Amino acid sequence: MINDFIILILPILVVFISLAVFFIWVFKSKEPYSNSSKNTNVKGDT
Amino acid sequence: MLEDPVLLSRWLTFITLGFHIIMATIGVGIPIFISIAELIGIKKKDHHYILLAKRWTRGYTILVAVGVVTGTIIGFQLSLLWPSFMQSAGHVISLPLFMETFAFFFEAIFLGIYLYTWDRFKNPIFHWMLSIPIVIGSSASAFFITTVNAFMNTPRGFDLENGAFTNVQPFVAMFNPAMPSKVSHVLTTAYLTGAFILAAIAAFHLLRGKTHIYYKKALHLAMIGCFVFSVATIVNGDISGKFLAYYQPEKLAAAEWHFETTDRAKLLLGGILNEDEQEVKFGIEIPYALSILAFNRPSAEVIGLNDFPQDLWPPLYIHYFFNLMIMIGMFLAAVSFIYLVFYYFNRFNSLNPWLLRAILLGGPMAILSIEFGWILTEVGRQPWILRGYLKVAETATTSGHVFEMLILFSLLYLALGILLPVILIRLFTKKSVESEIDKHHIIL
Repeated sequence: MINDFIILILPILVVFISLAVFFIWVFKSKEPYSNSSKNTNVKGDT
Repeated sequence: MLEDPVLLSRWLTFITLGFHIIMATIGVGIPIFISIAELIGIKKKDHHYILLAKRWTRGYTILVAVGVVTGTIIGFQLSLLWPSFMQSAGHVISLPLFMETFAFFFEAIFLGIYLYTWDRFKNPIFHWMLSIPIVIGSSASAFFITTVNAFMNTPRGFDLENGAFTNVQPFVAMFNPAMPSKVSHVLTTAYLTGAFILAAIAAFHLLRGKTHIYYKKALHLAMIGCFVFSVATIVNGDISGKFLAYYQPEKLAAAEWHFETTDRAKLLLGGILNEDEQEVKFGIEIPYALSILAFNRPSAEVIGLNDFPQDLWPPLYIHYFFNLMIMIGMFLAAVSFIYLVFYYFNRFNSLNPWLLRAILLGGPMAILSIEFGWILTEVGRQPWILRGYLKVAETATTSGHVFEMLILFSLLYLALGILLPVILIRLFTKKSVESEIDKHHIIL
């Protein structure tokens, strides 16, 4: 089950995929904490 | 002890690299966040993100400056403390060593231009484009130097003739089997550490009652990075386990106190080892987990330490560093996951003080995890400096003046370790976020 792909290729793909996911997530997400319905009180508890 | 140049050389290398790795890791991780913050600021016309990029760049520049000092020292110490290693194998790895320096200069030159050209372009996207070489240079620098470390673990690309390394193939040496898993693990953990440092700073300010949206934006951006890169790090950690099982089974066996070659091998957490009896007390055993980690199969056979001569065993205390590294990694992943769940499911407060405290703790914990992981990989290679070819004890300097160097450099790192936070704190308290936002006429 372990082959060269997992040890030699997959790790490099993980770096690029994680960077891509991070960039897409950050750009696609709405302005954080702009929605007044969101609880943004630092001292407030759940 | 004070007259043993091998031990003293090891200590000096440990202290130098242990200090440098903090600057290097944060220096590799933060440029990604600077670049993305500036791009968001430009695209969304949001000056808070621009200010984030500006302030992060200032802190990053100081870390790079200190990193230059320690990085230069490492270059010298490689030749001074490990002359036989550099004489024998230096020419095999000279390409990535040179390329690492080149990548650093590439990063540093563009960092200088980036710093001094804020607001100088009519179209700010041109300024953002200057951040790309900084990101590429810092990550490339990590890539090249990690290939050298990978080479020390799985040496390739040369023939050994009468004790000399001949027929050198630099690219084969660079792209050795350890390279992909090591480079990948180093890069994602550097991004993760950078993200947690930035998130911890934002959490610190929020906990102190600074509730400006600027800090919340900083926290949210960094926490997305924390989660994505912690997941990537877990995947890479799993791949590293498989790499070790195949190419350095003695390191995996030592890290897991796995003495007998068995199938259905158990993963051990914690415990106290009786080395003579090869028995472990108080440890938590997870059935099949080591076989799954090593070969993705619960029934897989994992090689034990007793298959190797005892004088070639790595020190067995690396088990604790292995455990601590994994535990901190899991903590970082859990904290970032909980934050995102709280944020996206409005039932919970994602700025809960306890969660913010956990994020704040995540900053230093991420650095500790880097240190533990590095100790695991370096000590786990012992007694070899170049696995299978050169031993640490054979390659150290025979000079009788290493102790003086050790004292001198320890004092230097102590001074830098005190000065660095003092400078950073002064820099950021002198120019507060609020005053800088006021200066840019942004409505609060």
